[in-house]
Amino acid sequence: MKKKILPFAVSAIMLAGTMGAAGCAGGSEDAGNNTDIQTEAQSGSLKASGEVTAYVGTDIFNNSMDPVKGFMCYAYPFVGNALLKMGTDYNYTGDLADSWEISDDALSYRFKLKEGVKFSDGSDFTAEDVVFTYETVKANQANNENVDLTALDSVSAVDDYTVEFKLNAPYSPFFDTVAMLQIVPSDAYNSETFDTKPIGTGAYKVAEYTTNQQIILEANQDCFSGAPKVEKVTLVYMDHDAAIAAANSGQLDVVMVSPNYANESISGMSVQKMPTMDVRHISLPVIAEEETTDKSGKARKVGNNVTSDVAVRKALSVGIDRQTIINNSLNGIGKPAESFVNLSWSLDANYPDNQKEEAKKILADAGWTDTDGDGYLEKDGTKCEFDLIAPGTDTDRYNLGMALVQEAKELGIKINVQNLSWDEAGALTNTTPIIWAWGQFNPVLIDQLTGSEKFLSGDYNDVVGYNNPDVDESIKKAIAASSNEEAVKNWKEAQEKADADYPYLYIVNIEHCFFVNDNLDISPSTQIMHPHGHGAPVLCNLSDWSWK
Amino acid sequence: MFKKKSLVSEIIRLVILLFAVSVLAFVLITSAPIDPLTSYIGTESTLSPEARQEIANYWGLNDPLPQRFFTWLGHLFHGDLGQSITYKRPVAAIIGERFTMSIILMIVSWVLSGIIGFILGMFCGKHENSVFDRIIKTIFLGLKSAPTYWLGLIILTVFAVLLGWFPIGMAAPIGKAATDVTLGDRIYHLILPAFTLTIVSMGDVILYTRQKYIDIARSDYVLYARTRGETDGQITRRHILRNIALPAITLQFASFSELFGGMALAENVFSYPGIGTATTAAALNADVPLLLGISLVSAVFVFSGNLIANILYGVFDPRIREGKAHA
Repeated sequence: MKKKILPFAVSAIMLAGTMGAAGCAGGSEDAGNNTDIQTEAQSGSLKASGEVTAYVGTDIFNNSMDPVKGFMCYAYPFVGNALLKMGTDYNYTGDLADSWEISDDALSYRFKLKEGVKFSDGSDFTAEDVVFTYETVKANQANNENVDLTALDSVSAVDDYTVEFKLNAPYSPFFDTVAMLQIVPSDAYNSETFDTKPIGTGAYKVAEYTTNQQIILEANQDCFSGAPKVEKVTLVYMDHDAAIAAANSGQLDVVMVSPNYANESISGMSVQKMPTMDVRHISLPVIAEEETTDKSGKARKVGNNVTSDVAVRKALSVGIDRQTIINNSLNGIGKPAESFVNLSWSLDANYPDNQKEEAKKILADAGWTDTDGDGYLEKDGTKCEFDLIAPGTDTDRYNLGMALVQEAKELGIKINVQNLSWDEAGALTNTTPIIWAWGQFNPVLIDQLTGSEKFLSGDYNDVVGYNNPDVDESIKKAIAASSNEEAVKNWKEAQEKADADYPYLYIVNIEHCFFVNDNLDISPSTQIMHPHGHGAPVLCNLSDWSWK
Repeated sequence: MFKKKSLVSEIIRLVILLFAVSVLAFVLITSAPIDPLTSYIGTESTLSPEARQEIANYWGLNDPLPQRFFTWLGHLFHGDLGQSITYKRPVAAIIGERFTMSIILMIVSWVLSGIIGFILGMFCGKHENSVFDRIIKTIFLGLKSAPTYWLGLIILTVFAVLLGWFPIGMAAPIGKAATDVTLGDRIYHLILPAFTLTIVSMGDVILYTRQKYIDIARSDYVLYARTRGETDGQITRRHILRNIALPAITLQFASFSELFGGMALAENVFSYPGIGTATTAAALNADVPLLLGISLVSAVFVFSGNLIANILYGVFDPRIREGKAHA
């Protein structure tokens, strides 16, 4: 009997996973039937003005709230502030820093700090706190998988309001790193209490933390950027379906939903779609099949005999109709994307797609013809066919893949979509196209996707086997840049050169959907482009929210 | 009644069990096709190779497996369950927090399902093939094959969304500070999940008790008692109760392990914070310290269940008690 525990736990987990999908269907039906009751419930429990209850996914609850351990690093902090923050124009502006300069050799970054800023415990914010925060993270890198300080050599306080960072080698993405790390008070910092009750300079402080239940935030009236309008915000932990049920009974003001729920109606709430810089693209291995060894000496199969033909990659990129794919898989929510978008360093390429004739011509010119009349092309006995992995538990990605199958079929390309766990997919990254999701501010991603040195250095680096000395050169220049402008210029060049070879098939720039109480203004004009983040990014401008 | 010698032997058994459970759990989780480093930093991450290396070294992910296990065991002897990779917090703190919530829910539904199930089972057995018996039998045979998750969702939809009698979930009202949460709030929020778990685990007790009642009511000694002129009440008290109590106790204490599985599902549906969600997270992220910690605690829990059942056998059945004393 006793030995049963573990297998049972595991099967329970699996059940929970599969049931999740079944639960969705049930939940959406209720939404339609109970409008009358909801209205009653809602008017019956009018919220105390100044209170907001929100469901923004469960990530916040599943991590420590300590910035030193990587909490809320992607530009949506509400308890703390970093030296820099992402602006609505995709550029960084000072948050706790007033101004900054980068030395010509790009090895030293000097930040002038804002004066008169206080932590929520009343202590003053000075350079000493910045030094403390960075040194603590650097010494405990293993506890922070988001803020990577390996490029940092040392940090020192020049005076009370000036800090200087010295790097090991020029590394322009350090600027992005600085925007990710919120400063903690050096005197009050406690690695244990900060897990649930961090102290910061932000607009809110944690009034109450209940594990896997709720986090109650209370306005920090003395915040340097002004007191927020909403006095109390409660973030709740729920299952996605339970959250929708709770919204239906009028208990939530903001609910993150997947695009497939966006057409439901919840009384007193309406859907708001938030633009993001989150894209979905497919890696298309650019080299032919071969056996090789990776950097650790392990034998590894790489390459794909179909996608290694640039004609196939290009034909897909210009021939598919992205809007149709979005309509068929994401409920029409999202924008067609042909490159990274909505970032200071993104190309925002916007070439016309759905050029079926052009695409067919590209394929024909490359020697692909339908010799056996089955509707799919062949070349030298190879069928124009490949597997496509929709990894993990994200059904949106699977739907996206299935919608692509139809579009590719019209071009004579056969795609077989498979849903594999990330662990199974990890072993196939170099041979099989995979649907990826990327939405981060840090351009070092370009290096990871197309830098030749990255090939075979890890399961998820330069998976397509791209190798272009020109691109490598631009990446090197971008990383060594001593100004943000110079870095951005080189990152763009690197992408332009690489994209000419179509190593990745960009499909969609997704939008995040939220049901929002009709009386609540979440200030869309001050929302930054949402990064990849399962709902939490909507909190980026929490201090601007207000009741109408 | 419970001799020193047998206490020592029970403790030795527990230690051996815990060791076996931890070895088994360790082997299972480390041989699962999950890369803990990847699940920690995410697949779509641009962390530098240096930082990845530092993380792997710190958590000992590169060490040989036996070494990892014995490091963990060494810390365990110092009372240190280690740090959870997933939550970045001490395992003991996480289990402590979650287990207190789970244990209330488990005990309530366990006690209720035991008592109500036993009474219903007796009643059905006594009135075999009556309308009531048939209805109860059908309902609980059906419920036995219904997944907890689905049942929870139905109950949630009916009582919380449609009727609005109970809260949607959670263990306390939304937005209410813990210090303001009253006992009434707690009970109010406990009702639906406890109700779900109760009816899910009640089926076994009802059906077994009912069957056993029928068997015994037809036995020769009950017939003999009847010929002696004992009343129904006397027969039930003197002969039937004792004999049907044993299987019910066995079942109920053995169901400790199944209660764990049901918990995980009920917790998800009712957004009830407990050990189930932590177990899910630990298993999916290959969080070895947390999973081992949870396995140990659940093993102790299930072991105690069986131990109590063993002791209670002696209370209810003198034959077992004597057998034990002579052994």
